[in-house]
Amino acid sequence: MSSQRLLGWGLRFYVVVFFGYLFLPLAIMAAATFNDSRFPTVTPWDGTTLRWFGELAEDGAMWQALANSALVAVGVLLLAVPIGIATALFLNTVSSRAKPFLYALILSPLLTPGVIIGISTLIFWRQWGVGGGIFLTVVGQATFIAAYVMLMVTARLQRFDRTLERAALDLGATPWQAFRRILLPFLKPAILSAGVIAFLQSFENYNTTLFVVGYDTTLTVYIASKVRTGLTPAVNALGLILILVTVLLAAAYEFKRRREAARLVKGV
Amino acid sequence: MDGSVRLEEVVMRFGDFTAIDKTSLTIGSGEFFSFLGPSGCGKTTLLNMVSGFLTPSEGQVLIGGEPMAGVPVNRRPTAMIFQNLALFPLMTVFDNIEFGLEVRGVDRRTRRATAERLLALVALEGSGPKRIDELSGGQKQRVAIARALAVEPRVLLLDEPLSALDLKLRQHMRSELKAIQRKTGITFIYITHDQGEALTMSDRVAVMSAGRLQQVADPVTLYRQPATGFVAAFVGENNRIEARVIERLGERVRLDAGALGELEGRVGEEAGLGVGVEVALYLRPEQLRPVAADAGGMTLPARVESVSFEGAWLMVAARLEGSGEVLRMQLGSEVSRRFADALAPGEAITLGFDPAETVVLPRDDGPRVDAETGEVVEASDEHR
Repeated sequence: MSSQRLLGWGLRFYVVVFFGYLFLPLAIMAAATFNDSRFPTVTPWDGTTLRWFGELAEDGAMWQALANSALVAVGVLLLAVPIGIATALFLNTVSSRAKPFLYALILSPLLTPGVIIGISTLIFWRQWGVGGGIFLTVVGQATFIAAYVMLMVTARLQRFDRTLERAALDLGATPWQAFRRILLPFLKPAILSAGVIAFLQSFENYNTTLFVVGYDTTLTVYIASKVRTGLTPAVNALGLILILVTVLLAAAYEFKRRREAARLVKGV
Repeated sequence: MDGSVRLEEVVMRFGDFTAIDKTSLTIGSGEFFSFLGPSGCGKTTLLNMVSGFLTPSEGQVLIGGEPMAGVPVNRRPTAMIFQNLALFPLMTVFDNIEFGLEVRGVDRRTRRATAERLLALVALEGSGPKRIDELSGGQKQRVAIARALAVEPRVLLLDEPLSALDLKLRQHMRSELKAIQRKTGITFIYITHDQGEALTMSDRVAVMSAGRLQQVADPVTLYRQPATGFVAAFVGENNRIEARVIERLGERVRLDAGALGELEGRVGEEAGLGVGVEVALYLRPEQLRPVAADAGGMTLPARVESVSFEGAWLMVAARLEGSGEVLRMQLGSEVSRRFADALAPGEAITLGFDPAETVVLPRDDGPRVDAETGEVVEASDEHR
């Protein structure tokens, strides 16, 4: 066997192992949904059932947690995206030596452990009599998610040709008109991506949320609590549904993107 | 509509650096006026003061007689064509041209009518719905012109708009720009480092160097009667011989050119040419010609160094016997045929010239232009 073929087989083996590592846990989790066992497991297989979907549907607390998660995610989206955009725009105009310092300051929540952000948010707001809950969860998560948004918007902003803005002003636009008609449309793709990332980051967050959620509960906090009180395959059913929804959305997005790319190529 | 532009003792400083030294100038309404100079000479800074992107450190700018102090960019009666054109890439040609009207609240139908009319003016009928990246370089150029004209500026500012085009297209756009300027009657202020552009299009040209106006004149005067050594070297090609004034003879001046003996030249500047002053005698390559060795008048014995064929003419480099300097001589095809034998490298040749076609100027200590590359040797950084 030549060394090239050996390399080829090695690569194939690696790819199989890699994808196995990524997806086997998900496959087992999904399979466990259909096992007629009290525990989320595939061994022993106690018979195939759909009853866990039924139990999931009847779990009122879970639905409440899901609704809360969605509410928090929308709140974070509405708070972190404008803050992130504004910060990116501001940092882009700063040219002093303070810039790297400001940059580091704004990125620091990303490097701070989520637990610490959660605790400090709680301590800070308690002074003003605000306790844990949905509101504090939104505020706490937004501190570091805004930094993600800022990074994504900054990346796009650096490719912006500033003479376009000058041209708009020169043609009689007010600074606001120049921003709305020229800069904002240019930033739109980055802002949309940042919005999606912000939503997902919020939805899956656990560390920070745990400390600031108070007596409310989000999906991640709810699932974690179930681990302690007794996990049933109903949670697997939920996981399966979330995965399917994600895959469908991603596929729809990719489909739309390809159709648009094809239209651009045709020049229609 | 008064589209005159007046600069009254404007100064522009960036920190310690003076980009524009005290400058006063009036540009007439409807004039095609160019600022010509090497990069870093301050011409873009001047343009930005007129458009409002920069506020002069001292002095003031008036447009149509009105002081522009405190009038922001978007309220000035000017429109700029940027070096990179700055067309809005996410918009169609129509949207680009209509932008200035849209932000002024002009209704859609009027906007579209204006855009159609301007597209016809720049010979781009039917291109309105196209995207910017579907256009060629020359078409983009025209869209930029149409977009600037749409806001009906009194003054159009053009910042080296042709520099990105290839040579053929550039020459074509020159005549087109000139035609548009005549048709619209708008004041054009054109910035360029390309003397060809400045000389062919402009009514008047201001040559700039190191933040100062060197000379403001029509193209012919600029070429025939340069006022400073910088202009003589920067506009067109010039041979330069250093000498000292012996005697003033009215319009002429007798010079001691050292090893080259005594020469005569035409007085280029009245004031600075007293007896004994160090001067430079400027000779255009097309005004030198081969003459018989015993011919009268001004002659310079030399030896042919190289001959290069340039199509319509020959460019001969000849080393002077006296000083060892190399002069360049441009010969039309007829003359070069007549002297074909003498025009081989190494041959002795006598260069003759008419003093009336030369210019003698005081030797200035300003920036020097490299004869080989045409670049200014002491260019400072470009400040905008």
